[in-house]
Amino acid sequence: MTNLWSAIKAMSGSRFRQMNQILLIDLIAIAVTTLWTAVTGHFADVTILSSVSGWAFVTTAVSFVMLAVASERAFTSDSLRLIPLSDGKFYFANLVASFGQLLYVWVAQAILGAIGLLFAWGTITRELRGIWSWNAGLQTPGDLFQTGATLLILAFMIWLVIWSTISLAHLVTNVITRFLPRFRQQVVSFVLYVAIIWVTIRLVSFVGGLVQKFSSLLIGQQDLGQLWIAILSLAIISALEIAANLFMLKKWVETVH
Amino acid sequence: MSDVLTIENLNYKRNLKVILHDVNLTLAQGKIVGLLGENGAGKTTLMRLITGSAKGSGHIAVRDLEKTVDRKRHVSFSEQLKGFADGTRIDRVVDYYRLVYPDFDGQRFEELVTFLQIDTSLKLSALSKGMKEKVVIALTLSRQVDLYLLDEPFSGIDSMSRKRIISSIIKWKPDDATMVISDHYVTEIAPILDDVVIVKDQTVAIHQAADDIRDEYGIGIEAFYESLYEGGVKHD
Repeated sequence: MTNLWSAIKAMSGSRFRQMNQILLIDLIAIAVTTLWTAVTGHFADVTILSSVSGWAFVTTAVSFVMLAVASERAFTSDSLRLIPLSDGKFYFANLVASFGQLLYVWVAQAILGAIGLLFAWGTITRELRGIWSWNAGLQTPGDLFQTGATLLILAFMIWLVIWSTISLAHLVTNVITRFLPRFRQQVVSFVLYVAIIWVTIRLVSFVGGLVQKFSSLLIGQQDLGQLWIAILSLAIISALEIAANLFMLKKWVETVH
Repeated sequence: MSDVLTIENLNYKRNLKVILHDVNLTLAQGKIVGLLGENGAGKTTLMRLITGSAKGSGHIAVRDLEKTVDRKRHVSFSEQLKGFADGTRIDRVVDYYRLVYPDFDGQRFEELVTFLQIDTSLKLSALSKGMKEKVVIALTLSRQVDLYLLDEPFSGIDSMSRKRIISSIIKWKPDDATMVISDHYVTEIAPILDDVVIVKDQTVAIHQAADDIRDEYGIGIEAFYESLYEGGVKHD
């Protein structure tokens, strides 16, 4: 049987190369923007930071889409699905491979941001001093760490729900088209995609709202408590979606021939 | 001799169309089996069902193991190359194989590469159809498994390449492993076949030893196969 770590490595390889290409384009875009600003005589110490943060949105959005496509293709690719791995391990390896690459892009963006920050340090500290003095005494370092960690977990859970929702829409469409006649299958698939995404979004917001409503009755109205309730709601939604995805993967989802 | 593959009451439908119906088949170990049938008969689908790439109903067991993950462990299927981008270099595909298939034999792959004259530094997009088939054969045979499934390994390739592929099959097939070769051109593979399985009318119409066909009907495998489709041979 294939080792789980080997499967993660195998799935990460092509995604890593893709992410490197995106980051290279990102670097070129930052360099060109910065140079252009310098040539036109508008260069300031915050120029690099604004170039980095300006392109960061495009880079993270493109990498997100590319990884989602790679992740979904894995479910129907013979080269990957023929790996001797249970469906559960396969799903997990695919998820980890994508998340690892997404993290890689975010870390690269953070490093670029830090470099931009070094150049803009003077201006930024002047601006921040005012905000810092205004906030001073509101939160201890311990509180800040706790809030930061909670927000990171929340961000991860949001990503997990988005990812499992994309898979759910893809796999449901894949399964339904399998049972439809070939005639006008593409049109039907498109309509199905739109309908399933709409239904899924409605379902997710309904379940999320419901869980939040019930839990707010049980727990008080503390801010951090609210965040944990949101995390719990997202965990329930993603667990349900992943269970549905695994069921479809095991029973009906075939590789593209 | 034990059985390597057992299929019972296998049914498969796609897009409301029956592709395979009530398929029953048992293959013994150590054989080279010709899976014959016209285009669209369901040969590839049958192979995909064995590996779990397609999902049907019924029972499929490889070495008495029914779970899909166990079957994949014991089967090497020539479709394993599907899914790689055209720009992927062959040596990268080989690295991938080494990583995900613990039974991949690097030494055997090197021998096959030399025998089939494959340049592993090339990208998949740079390969001719014949060369691509050779790569597929080298990768498929480099795994140490009980059942090899080769889906139309000779389609659209020149006779020299075909002969080399056939020679590699004879040379590198482990004695105790079974190999299923699907095709609709029978002439060149007929001499190496131990068994013949013919898929017709959405099911396995015939499963018989190649020698028995020659003895019983007094004709070659190709003539037998053609006459079956033309209605000349009646079989229970």
